[in-house]
Amino acid sequence: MKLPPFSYCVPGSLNEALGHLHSPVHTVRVLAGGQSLLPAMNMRLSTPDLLLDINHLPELRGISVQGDRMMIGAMTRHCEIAESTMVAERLPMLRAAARHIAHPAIRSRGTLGGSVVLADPAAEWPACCIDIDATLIAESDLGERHIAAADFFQGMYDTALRSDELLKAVVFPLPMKEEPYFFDEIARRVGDFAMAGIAARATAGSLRAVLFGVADRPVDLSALLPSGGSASDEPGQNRIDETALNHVISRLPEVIQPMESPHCSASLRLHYAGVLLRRAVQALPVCGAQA
Amino acid sequence: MSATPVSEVDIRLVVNGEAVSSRVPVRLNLVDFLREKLQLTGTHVGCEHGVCGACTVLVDRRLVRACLMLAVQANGTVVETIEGASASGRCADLQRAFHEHNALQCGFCTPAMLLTAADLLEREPCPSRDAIREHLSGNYCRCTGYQSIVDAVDAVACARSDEPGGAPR
Repeated sequence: MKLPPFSYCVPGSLNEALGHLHSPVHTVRVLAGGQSLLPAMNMRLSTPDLLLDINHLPELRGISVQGDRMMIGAMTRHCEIAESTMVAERLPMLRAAARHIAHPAIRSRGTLGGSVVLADPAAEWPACCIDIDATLIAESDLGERHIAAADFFQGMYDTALRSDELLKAVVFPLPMKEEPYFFDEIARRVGDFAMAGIAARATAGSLRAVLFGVADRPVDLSALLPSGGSASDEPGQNRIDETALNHVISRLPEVIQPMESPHCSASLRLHYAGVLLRRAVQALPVCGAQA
Repeated sequence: MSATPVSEVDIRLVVNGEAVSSRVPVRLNLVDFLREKLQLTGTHVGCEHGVCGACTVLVDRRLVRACLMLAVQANGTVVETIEGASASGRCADLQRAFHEHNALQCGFCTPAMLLTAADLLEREPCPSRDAIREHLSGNYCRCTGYQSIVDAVDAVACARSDEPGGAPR
């Protein structure tokens, strides 16, 4: 179907964009990459009467490293993250994740911020944000607000962002030294929405893993996994052997209650969650029994 | 562009090497603009929600879904469609290989397949068959079962790498 009628404007500054957000006369939607919003509008799932195109605000774009943090502007496109040498060197998980986002033509337009704010349960960036402990920077007339990724995703297509706020950037803390990571997902075809996915890294001698596509929001497995990080920990103390891994997998239903869908049953999603966790443990030697 | 809400916008862009200017309704998507205003009907409209890939074109040298981009968003860009890629000879060997390998039947997906394959070979001159499949994964073909399309792209990659100065395989 064709797009329904709407008005369109291109704000010349962030302040101007924020001014439109609480328009008394318009239902406003922010147009980022448009790769989910435009199809939703075609199908009349979203019917804004004003589209606020923020594609021409340079302050929302780009990747930079400041000390021990990497800041990525909300309007940075998936392909730019995938191609960035800075990302490849400092946060290779993001590069690995980008490859799984839809198809090349979608990655040319879709943006980090658009994906984060949409909060699709099967999306890659929200899981990476939680796994890496990113901070999301929102801007409104009241100023800047920093929101931890762990608090941001509140359900299916539901986030902590207020209607008067725009997501400005995502800040990822950089590890002191290189951290082994694992990113994978199971889909029927490359680029399809994941039936289950995992973002994981070995940090401070233990495994940090976040599942996605298996619940209404990404699921941090920290509560189930042995935690490290304290100075007294013996190296390798938090390794996960076969018995421990089986135990964690058996407890997955405590933290995820997957949704049923026509192409993937809840029990299959749960099974895939276990498969991916096993792959992550095996791929990250610091966590695995064989290390 | 407009800082106040509007329903029509004047745009200027370059399509297949030619400067174009037009007044477009903001709800017009890029593929309908190309087909109906410019009569460039090689770009096809399939699903109109970004799934089938038939409307794929290049905007500023990147593949995009022309059904998921507004015509107004193409203001100031350089667009290439299959007509441009065909006229320049940029994908002539791919077109020949598609013919020789029976990589098309009805032809509906072919323009977008060719542009997507050409994009892959420019970025990665010697892709594996898996890489070819992955790059074409966003383009549906309901006739061939894909095997012959992968064969055709693979054959072109091999042939190009055999040319003097081609990438080693």
